[in-house]
Amino acid sequence: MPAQRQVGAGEKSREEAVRAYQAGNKAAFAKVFDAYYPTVAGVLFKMLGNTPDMEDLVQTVFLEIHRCIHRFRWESRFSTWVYRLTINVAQQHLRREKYRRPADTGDREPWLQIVDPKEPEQSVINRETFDKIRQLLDEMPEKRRIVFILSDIQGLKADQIAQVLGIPKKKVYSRLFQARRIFHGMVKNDPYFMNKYLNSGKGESGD
Amino acid sequence: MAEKQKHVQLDEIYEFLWGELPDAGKRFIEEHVHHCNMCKEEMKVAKGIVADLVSMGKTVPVGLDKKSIKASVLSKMGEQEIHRNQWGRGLRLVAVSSIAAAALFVVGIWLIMGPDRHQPVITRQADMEQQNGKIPGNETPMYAGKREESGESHVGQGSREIRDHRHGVGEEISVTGKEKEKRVELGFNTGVVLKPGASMIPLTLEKNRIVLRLERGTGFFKVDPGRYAAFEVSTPGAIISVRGTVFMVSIDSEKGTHVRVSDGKVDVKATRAGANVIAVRAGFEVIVPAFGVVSSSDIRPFNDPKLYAFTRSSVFGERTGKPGIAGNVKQNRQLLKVTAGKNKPGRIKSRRPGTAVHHGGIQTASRQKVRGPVIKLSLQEMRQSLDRARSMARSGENGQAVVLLKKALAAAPSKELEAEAHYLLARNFTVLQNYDGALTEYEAAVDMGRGHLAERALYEAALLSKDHIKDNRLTIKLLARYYKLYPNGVFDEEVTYLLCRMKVEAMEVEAAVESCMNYLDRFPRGYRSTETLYLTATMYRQLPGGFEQASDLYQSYLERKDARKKDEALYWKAGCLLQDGRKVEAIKDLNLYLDKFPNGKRAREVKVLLHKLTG
Repeated sequence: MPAQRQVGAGEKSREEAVRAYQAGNKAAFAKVFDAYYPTVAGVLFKMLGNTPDMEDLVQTVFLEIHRCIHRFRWESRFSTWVYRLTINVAQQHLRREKYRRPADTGDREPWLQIVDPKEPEQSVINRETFDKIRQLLDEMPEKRRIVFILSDIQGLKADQIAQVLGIPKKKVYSRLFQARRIFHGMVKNDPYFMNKYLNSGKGESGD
Repeated sequence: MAEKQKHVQLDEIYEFLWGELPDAGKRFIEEHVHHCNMCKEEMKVAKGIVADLVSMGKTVPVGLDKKSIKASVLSKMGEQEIHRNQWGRGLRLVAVSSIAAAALFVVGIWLIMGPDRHQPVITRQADMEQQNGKIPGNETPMYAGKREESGESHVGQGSREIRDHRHGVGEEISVTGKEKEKRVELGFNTGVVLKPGASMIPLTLEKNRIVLRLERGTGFFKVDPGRYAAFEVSTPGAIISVRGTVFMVSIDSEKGTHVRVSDGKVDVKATRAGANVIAVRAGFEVIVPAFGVVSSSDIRPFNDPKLYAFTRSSVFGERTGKPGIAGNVKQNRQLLKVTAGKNKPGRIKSRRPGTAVHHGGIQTASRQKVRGPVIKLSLQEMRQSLDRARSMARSGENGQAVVLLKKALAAAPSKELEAEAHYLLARNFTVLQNYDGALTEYEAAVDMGRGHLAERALYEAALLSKDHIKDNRLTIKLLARYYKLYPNGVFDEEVTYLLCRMKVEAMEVEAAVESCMNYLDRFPRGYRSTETLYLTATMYRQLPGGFEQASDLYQSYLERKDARKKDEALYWKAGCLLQDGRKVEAIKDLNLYLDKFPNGKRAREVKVLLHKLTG
């Protein structure tokens, strides 16, 4: 079974809230916030890691949405626009702070949690893996990293990524293949992952 | 080239895993990987990567406080709106002043060229009539600005010292920090006193309907009863509707809209969709949080001498200089001073146990009582009130008990009794399912109370947080506070157990292990010790290198008579032994599992595992 891209689930109801908000129903913003908070917080975390500015950055994205929503013309999906804003904010932050994350997630509170609460034990195991993946993502060149996160982690399709980043689809594929090769290479050099994938048999049942 | 055809490209492997390859490509890869060990390994690694990335995609950061981010975004949005409006008004002002300058220029030219002196631009009489509201289309003009000295109008006398400025709908009236307060008259006995820093925009100025928008700062409002079908004051967070009253509205960017009523009654409603309308009576105040809602339980008594002085004054009633108004003054329901030695607090008007008692208040001509400064109850009266509230709560009249307790709180004679009242309020709120209110009251009881009451309040607050509010972090915080304040308290064992339970649920593995071990050390045969043994073993299992400890703890649990999850414990014990490299013992335990629980939940897994282990 190939891996599933989970994009577009519940998009209609979320977009209804956006339309209501755009039409002047200010109370609908709370719904918009709830609908897009996981996307915004998730992408920011994956781009920037465990930064203390995370709350400010999430706020900035939503304030940008509020400020510019009247300019959104429904020529693309709203989520695409949200991704674009989120990535812009993340890139600005990286540029401003010349951000380089230290691998210090161990000292702080756990940020990540598996969505499925039926497997709380699994979350402990996965947290270590996620920390390692985050460290590897930091090593990747920024443009490739963005494409890789949007495609293979967030599950966006190539044409949607092309819209988000405003680049041709061919370029998306090119960056994605390069990113996958880089990431694959880094994983193969990491004994933690090699032990995990080749010895535990997870690779066999990964899908 | 030949090499390329031999092996599968890495890009193709990923496309295969993401289901982006055509069928022919898929078949080729499947067949090739079956035979080629090198590509099989690449496929294994890629599969693992894809699986981990997909599960990472399903995660969200949980260290963030979503609620506070949301509240902060909403409040900043409100600020942005205000700035935007102000910019809009600024541009309008620029446009209006440009037009005015052009008009002045034209008039100047016209005057130089020889105007007709018999046709004045605006006659003084016309000006006066306009200000008296006789010009059609401008029937309820608004005047703002400080009058000269006495505060009386000089319009009728044709004085050139008039400094009133007319304001129309949509024009901002603001008072800068350096100015004194500004008085805005809306008609007889009705008006607003804007305090320094305030800003207000009239939205509707009709004969029987007035809508004002208070953008910031504080305003004291006095509305003549029976004059308007609707009189509304809106703020960024609330709408206040009134019919004949005196009240204050103050906006605090952090706290929200503060409404105090000193005469009559006002209806307050949060601007948020679905918010309820609550009635605030004279002598009470309410704070509507920015973008929040209010309920009747948020209403509290207040004491504001400045507002009472404003209520007693007749700033908008003494306009004797105006034709057609002076005669009406006495016919209207004017606020009169009636008690306590002419404006001075003194004689106590009424005193009943269990109610807030007032003196030095004022009354309207219709004998409606207005609350003045509150005096304290005696200790005996306060105790009687608390007893009455207790008996009310016992008979299920929790709502009435809350009202009585709030009144008693306002006049509580000592901190100890006040803490008791807070505690009782919290219990009543819990029954009424106002959990946030209950938590606030419990916290007040903890802060003010002493000894057993405070200890109990803290414990019950933690239980409330755990069972009803379901806030794991808050519960841990409250339990930890209890643990720190009352190390040998009455609820010590239960709190120690709850603390480890909460940490386990929060998956704070190391902290949970520490808490569990602490419980087991202090209460080795405590009534929660068996359960704690199981929890500790489960947590040790999560720690690197904790399998040995975990298997020992599972064994201790299995030896307990009151252990309920023996099948699970046996299964996990075997698992831990296996991970620890003790294969023989693990097989023994797995066989034991099948003997004891042949139809257990894990029986099938155990069989498979045994088959693998024993070949």
